Amino acid sequence: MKISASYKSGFKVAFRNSKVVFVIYFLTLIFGLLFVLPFKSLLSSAVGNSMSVYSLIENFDYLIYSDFLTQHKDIANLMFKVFFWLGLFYLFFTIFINGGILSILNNKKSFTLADFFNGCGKYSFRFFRLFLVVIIIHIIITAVIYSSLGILIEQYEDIVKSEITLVIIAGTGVFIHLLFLVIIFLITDYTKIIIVKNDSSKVLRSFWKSVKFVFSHLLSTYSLYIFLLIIPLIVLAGYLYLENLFGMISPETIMLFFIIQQMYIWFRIFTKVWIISSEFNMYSNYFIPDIEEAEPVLIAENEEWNFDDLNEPDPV
Amino acid sequence: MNKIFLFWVLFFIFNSPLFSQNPLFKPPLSERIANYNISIELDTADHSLRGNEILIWKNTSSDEINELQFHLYLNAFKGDSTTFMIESGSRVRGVSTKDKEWGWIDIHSMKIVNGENLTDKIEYFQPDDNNKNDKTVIRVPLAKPVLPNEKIEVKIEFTSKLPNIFARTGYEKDFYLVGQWFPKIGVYEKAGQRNAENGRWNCHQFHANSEFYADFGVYNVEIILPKDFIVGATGQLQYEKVNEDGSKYLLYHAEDVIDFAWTASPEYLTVEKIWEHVQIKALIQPSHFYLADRILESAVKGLSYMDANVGKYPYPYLTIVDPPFYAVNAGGMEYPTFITTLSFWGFPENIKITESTTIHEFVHNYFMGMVASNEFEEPWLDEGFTQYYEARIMDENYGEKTSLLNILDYHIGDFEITRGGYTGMKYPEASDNTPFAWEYPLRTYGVMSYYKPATMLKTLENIIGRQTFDNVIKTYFEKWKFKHPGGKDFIKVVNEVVLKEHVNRFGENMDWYFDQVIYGSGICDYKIDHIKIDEMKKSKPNLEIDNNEDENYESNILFKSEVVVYRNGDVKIPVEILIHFDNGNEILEIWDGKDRFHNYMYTRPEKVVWAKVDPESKIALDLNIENNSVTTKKETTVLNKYAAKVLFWLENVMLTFSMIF
Repeated sequence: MKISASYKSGFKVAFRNSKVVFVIYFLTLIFGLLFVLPFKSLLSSAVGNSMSVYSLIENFDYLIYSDFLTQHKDIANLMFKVFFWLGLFYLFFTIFINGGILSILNNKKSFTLADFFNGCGKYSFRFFRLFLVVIIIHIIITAVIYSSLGILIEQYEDIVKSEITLVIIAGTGVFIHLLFLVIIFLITDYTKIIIVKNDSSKVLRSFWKSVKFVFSHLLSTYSLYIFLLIIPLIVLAGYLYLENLFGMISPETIMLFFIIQQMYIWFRIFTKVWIISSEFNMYSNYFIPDIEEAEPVLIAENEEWNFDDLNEPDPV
Repeated sequence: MNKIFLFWVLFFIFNSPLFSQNPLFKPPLSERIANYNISIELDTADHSLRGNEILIWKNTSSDEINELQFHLYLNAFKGDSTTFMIESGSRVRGVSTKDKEWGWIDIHSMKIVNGENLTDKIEYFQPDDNNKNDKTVIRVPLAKPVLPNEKIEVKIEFTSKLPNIFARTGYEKDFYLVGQWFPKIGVYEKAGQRNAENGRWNCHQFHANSEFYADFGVYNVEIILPKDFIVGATGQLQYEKVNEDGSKYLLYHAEDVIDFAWTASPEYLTVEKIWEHVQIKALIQPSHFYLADRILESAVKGLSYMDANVGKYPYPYLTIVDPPFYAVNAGGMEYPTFITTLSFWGFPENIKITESTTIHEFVHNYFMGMVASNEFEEPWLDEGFTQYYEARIMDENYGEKTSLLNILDYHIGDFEITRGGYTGMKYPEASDNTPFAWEYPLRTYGVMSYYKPATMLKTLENIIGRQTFDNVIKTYFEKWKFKHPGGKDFIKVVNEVVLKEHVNRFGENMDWYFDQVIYGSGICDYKIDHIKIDEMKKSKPNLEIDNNEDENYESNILFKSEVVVYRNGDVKIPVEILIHFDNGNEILEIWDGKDRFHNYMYTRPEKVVWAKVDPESKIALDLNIENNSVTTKKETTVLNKYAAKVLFWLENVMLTFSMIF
């Protein structure tokens, strides 16, 4: 009941703030085009006036691909490098804009670019510190899971007769990692919410509160996140099916699928805002009206969290 | 008394399983030069084989043979300093010898039956590289030479220690793949055989980049091993008996084969299928049992295709081994009537690695197993031909563009991979196809043995036509089965058949082709360099132009179109050029490719729109098909398509990265 109410409320809030979605979408599109437009020129000059690539309009053709990759290794390498570095850049961009999204959701006022970028600037350093904490946790958990997996597989390798056992062990390891990934994503999201909601600069303290909150309401928070995570995957599968069925084989279908692709990207961003709105709603209205007042003793009691920043008063 | 005793001795000898074989082929299919009776016992505690062999070797040359030469292949795995290990860096197919058990073969005694003891005369030698640490070849001088048409019987007692699976032989846990495991005599090449000017032993060391070469013969192999082991081998099981001590005795018999390999494991499940006269037996891992149909079906496709298009598979049996995942390096190997494939649990059906491996290794039963070329010296004659037929069988049975992979909109055909393996190589001009297997420079052995010759054969097929090509191969197989042809022997057959079917359409012979693509290291790359169009005013009615196909054409404008076709590489193959005009007319030109470039001029009321060299992609050897065409009307549709796709997936990658925070 609380989950579905959060979905609905989150959807309404995300919809009401669709300008945020559009801003992020356009920025994402601009970043993409900054690479794709020069890339297209590069492709065009590489292909020159050859007609060989025309067969690719109808269908995938390995002969053409393999010759192209052989003749233009540099372009293929460039593309993969850009995918990685642009992805990394976008991650930092996300750290920056998260403050804007959350401050808009928190203020419940109508969207203005000034408020949005004000929020971005205000929380960017705190979120960057949170990012460092989160990335360390990711590294630790990944290392622990996969080194345990490696040891387990090494031990079993000598006694098992079939690869099924190893596939099951490896699959279980990956599944456990995915479970943990979602938990870390959840904790990160609620930490951001706590930081914005309480206007707290104490990242570790907020993180700890978030851990407690998530684990106190694991089923609700997990279900909420997973559902919203799965929706874009289902839509993507639908898109791939459609593309496979009709193909981008003429100027008209290319334009049509370009529009569908960009609608999907918009939808992914919308879902991201929807997730955070729903989480915001769940945190604010249902479980802990004021988590800081509810359990003030615990943090003080816990010496290992007694960092310097805990002694500083929260900014008002 | 003595006569009675002799009678019973002879009675038992000739009624023992080893000597009571019914001959399979009458008359024999081969000269049966190297024949073996081997008795061996597998010790599963130290993974070794102990026993003896009696080699019956026939001198079919006109020479007196004063020494014998033998391969001791297993000694390649004796330590880090053997030639095999030095050349491979102790690593084959990604598997290192680190923390693995070595393998070797020791000869305890060697003597001529009822004759000279040769044990002390055994001498290790290194015909290829003088590496004294390499003990993969021995020679034994004979006090009395083997005269022409004479036979010699040599009894050898030996122990073979199997290594952990390496280079597709050895053991892993309770799985055994036993290949190259017994002292094996080299090939004495008679004067005139392949490129031998005089009679000579051909007995090379075991190299990292090389396979084998052996004479045909009859094998009777007795194996004793624990009774719970399931066994598969070259040839056919003749006799099986469980002993009281918990072991079992097996006798295998094979005729007109060049080698004998076997496998044993208690885990195998046996699945059988009959195709015409051939009993196909697959030894499958329990976890791969559901893949048995795929393996057997692909074997049937291989059998029926080769039978119809190359020649008859004479053996009534074929054994296919599916190694377990922990011995995956035993997969993908060929022995006569006995092959190993590759399969993995959970591997999707639309990735056909299992099928292509099964077909590839089966085809080796033709090019290696029956047409027994020298894999040391001319590896392209078996690997290249086999790769060509693998691609042909796969593409014709599973789809030209989908035979290896077919997932959603993405698909790859077997020949596409084959050609791509050659055209994508780093140093296509590094070597011709004449080096011995281990002498190819810059790690080009694989491509030069498999992919380039397969692509060369495909180009040959396209030049002379499928029917002539098939006749060439059928003639070659018929003439050289159970013999040892060289590359020149194949080319001779090509010349004979092409001349017979096409007279001199391709010249006096096809040597011009093979001299370039086998015995030359040049590359083939044609391109349309450019199209140039000049507009000119028609001053007076021009009869020639008025006679053009478009009778209603009334324009005063003429266009001078120039199409320049250029040969980038050194390989010269006659090629077609298709010229397309803006009124839809097309002209097909044929260029001999002998000059570096050629320009075609057309003065017509219509303009050239595009030109394609080799429009039907007949010259598969052409390294770059991207430059085979030029258009004056550039289309941007395909660029828009891929720009949109790249943008979409780039945005998705960015959003996925952003999920971390």
